[in-house]
Amino acid sequence: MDRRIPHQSGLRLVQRVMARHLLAGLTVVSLMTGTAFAAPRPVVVALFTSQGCSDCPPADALLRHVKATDPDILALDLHVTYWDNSAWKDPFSLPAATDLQDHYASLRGSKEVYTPEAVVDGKAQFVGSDKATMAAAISRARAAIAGSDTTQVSVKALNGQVSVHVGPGTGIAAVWLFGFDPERTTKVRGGENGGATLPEVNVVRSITRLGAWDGQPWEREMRAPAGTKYAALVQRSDGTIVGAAEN
Amino acid sequence: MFASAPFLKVLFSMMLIGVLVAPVAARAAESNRFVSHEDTVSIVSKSDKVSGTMFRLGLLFRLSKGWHIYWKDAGDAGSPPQLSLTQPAHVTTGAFDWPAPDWLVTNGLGDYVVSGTALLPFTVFLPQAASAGGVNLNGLARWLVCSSVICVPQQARFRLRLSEGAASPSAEAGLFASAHDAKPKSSPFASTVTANGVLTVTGKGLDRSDLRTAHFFPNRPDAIVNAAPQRLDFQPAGFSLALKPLKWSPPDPLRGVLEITDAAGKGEALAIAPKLAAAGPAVSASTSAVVGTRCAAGRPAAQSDAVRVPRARHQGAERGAAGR
Repeated sequence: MDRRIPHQSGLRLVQRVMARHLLAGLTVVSLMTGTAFAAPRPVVVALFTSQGCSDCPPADALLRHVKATDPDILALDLHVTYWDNSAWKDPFSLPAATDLQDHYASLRGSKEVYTPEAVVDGKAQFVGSDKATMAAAISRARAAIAGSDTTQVSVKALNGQVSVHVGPGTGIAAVWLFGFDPERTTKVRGGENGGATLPEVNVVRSITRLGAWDGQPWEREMRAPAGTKYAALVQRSDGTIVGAAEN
Repeated sequence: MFASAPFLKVLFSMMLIGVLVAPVAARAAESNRFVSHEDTVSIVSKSDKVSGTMFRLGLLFRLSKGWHIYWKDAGDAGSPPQLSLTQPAHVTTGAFDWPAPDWLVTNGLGDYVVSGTALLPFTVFLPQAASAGGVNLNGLARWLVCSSVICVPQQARFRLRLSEGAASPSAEAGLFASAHDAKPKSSPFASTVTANGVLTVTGKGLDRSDLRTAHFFPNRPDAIVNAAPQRLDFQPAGFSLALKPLKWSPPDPLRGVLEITDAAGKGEALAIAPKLAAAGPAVSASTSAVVGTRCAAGRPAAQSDAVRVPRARHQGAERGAAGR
């Protein structure tokens, strides 16, 4: 036994070294051919924002940058309602977005919300314009995804219908559908006819709770809610995302 | 070892003054306070008691350094505070009185904001005269408080009990006096605005030697480009401000607040309502132009692309009296 342990360890070391070389080789090939090996799932970056928030444009720009430079990001630009008043309303504000932010606040034991707030992969919560924290949070989320089981999720939209499929897994979670517009450029309140404009990406237009998932393969088809693209999240009540995909 | 006679005289005088003053010291008339990292907010009363059907209250903001709320016209972003009194039954309130705001340009957006300590007075109308039991007020306020990085929505329920009786000034009455001083006054000057945005103000005491800065704050967010600087030009009978109009003509009249600062740095807020006028003659080359003088100071360190215009004139009056 004593002599076999070093032998086994040596084999494992060789296997690990070979695996690393293989991975490195594949990476080189992928770079050369322009193809990428898909990550188990994208990192979900949610931004709570409002067109009525003067501190939000830098966060909107950061979300736009993250989405443009990282193909494995699922960006969700969520407009909250507490900036709306009787005289003005953010055209993209959704009560469900405010509810979702309240839920995230409760996860950190608080009732206080703010804009711009980013939530990376359902866990890290921070000021949405903070570039360094955003980069670190995405890296941590990516490492966590690589080290955990991921439930396969797919979402398809066809002929006015959206279908979501969730593969097998463990535990229970909720399945959410987000309808969004990949690009929206809007005029700010005072400038509908000559003022500043706000370009935003993945502006969420609808949020639908499709139901509960208990680890068994799950499928749902529904009439397409607002939005030109769709993302499905499978998320536990503590914020943990076990699966995510967009069409 | 023993105190000197002059010292004892002074000490006695101070004690006497204290005894004489204590019984007549104004009583506080303040609701419960909402306290957060960003601000402390309450409702205060101008008088310690109420009689009849009408009296004055104020929503008092003590904002932490670096935080602001929004003016009645918030500009391109933000929203002014809202207060709804829910008790006693059928109580109604008038609009807030506002001081002139600060102009805050950030991220390409032009906002009108209020910072420091600010009292927003308003009138309360009771459906019937206050009874011998006094008045129990209950209200819900919602507001947005922002720094240069984040904005926080806040809300609080305030409760304030006022006894019935002959009203005398409360301990907070000085805040109301300061707020009254800070409220824009009716302008003694004539003013017009052209369709291309040239606001002209004429009258005595407005020439180059009298005036240092001027800025116009519109009452509605879609009147002008809120983030645009306002070029100041002196003319023989006064001055003009080059507002950047939107693609349509300004509202007629273009209501708002004109804030001017004299050579000594003393400011004045004037309510104006310039009517639309035909475009005037071009500004002569001999007139001097000032652009952005109101934007020269106060840039927050963490807000490299933002320009905050200090409302220096009102700091002494309003904030000095309110700084507790």
